[in-house]
Amino acid sequence: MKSFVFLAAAVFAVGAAWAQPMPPDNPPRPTMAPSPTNAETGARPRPHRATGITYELAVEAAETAVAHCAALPKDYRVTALVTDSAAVPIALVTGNDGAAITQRIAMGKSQLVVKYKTASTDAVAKAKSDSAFRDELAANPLIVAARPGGLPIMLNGQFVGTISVSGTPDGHDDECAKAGLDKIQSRLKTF
Amino acid sequence: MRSVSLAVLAALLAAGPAAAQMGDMPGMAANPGPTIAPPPTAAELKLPRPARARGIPGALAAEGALTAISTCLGNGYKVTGLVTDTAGVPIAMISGDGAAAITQRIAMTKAQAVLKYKMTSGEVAAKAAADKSFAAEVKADPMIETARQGAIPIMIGSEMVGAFAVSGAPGGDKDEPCARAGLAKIADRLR
Repeated sequence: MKSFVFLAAAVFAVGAAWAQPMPPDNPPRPTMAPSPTNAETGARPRPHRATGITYELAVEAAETAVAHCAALPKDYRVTALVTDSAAVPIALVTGNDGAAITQRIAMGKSQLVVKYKTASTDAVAKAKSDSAFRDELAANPLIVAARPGGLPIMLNGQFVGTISVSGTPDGHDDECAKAGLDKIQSRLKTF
Repeated sequence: MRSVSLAVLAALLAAGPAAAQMGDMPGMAANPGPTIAPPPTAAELKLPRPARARGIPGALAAEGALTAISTCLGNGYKVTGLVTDTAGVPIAMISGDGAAAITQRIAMTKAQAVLKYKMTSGEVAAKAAADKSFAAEVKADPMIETARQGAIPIMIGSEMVGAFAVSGAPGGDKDEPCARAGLAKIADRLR
């Protein structure tokens, strides 16, 4: 009973924090959320990740994606993010000197994939012809807009997570994410 | 009991989008707010993307974080390893299988403490315990709030080039050795 109240307080605190208006645009907001409150750190149990791939595979895929983009003629410096099926990051890797904001953009792509269980390019196509869908994305602060570069990770027909890449200005994010996923697809294991 | 349910419901309503996202995960305890900040607004996207601060290469950061995770796992602890540049932007963040999601945000507070005070986060915690005005200053920083052991500066010679943080063991004194092991693995190749 007490823990319920505690949880409620924690959830309320989170909501309040995230409901605050965005801070001024410059300097850009930090990638990571602010320090958790004492209520949040004290809350028990501490849920671990949802179903997702094992962390070593996640790192291998992320590093492969970053390396694939860096090996393209324009030497793109990107962020690759692998999340579990609930959009909790498992591995986040940013290539040398990749822009910080690519980390948040990648997170938005993974949130989209988790919510709609579709590659983010498919959502881009749908948003072009479907204004209600576009508005729905815009109204979701965790997504904002559909952008290519986010892929679902599927294992035996089950959705087990996402891989997203951000940082190429001319449409190579998908290719790099796919290279990362291809590297591990045949060995996928979930935790 | 009814009042508790109402309180939870009210809190969930107040928490808005973040909680709505959590509500999408049937059967899961709610996670305490996303690790990574929401995607940038259209206005933020148009801003120049600042060059990254000093930091170490992505592959080294990932290798160090993996070593920290396996070291802690050998001691029986499931942790997150985080390597940031000198501005607190993540270079690699990896969560081992079974690490609590909130350890990602806690690791960030430790990294921020290292970068701001240019000492280990354990030293920041010790100083805060002995010095009330310093403790108040730490508490007032929304990216730190509570000083916790478990993060160390990454040095090249006498210059700090980033922070290496670990969170997830039951006590910062058990996190810090894993961070040290991770950094030791890559120390002689830093550039």
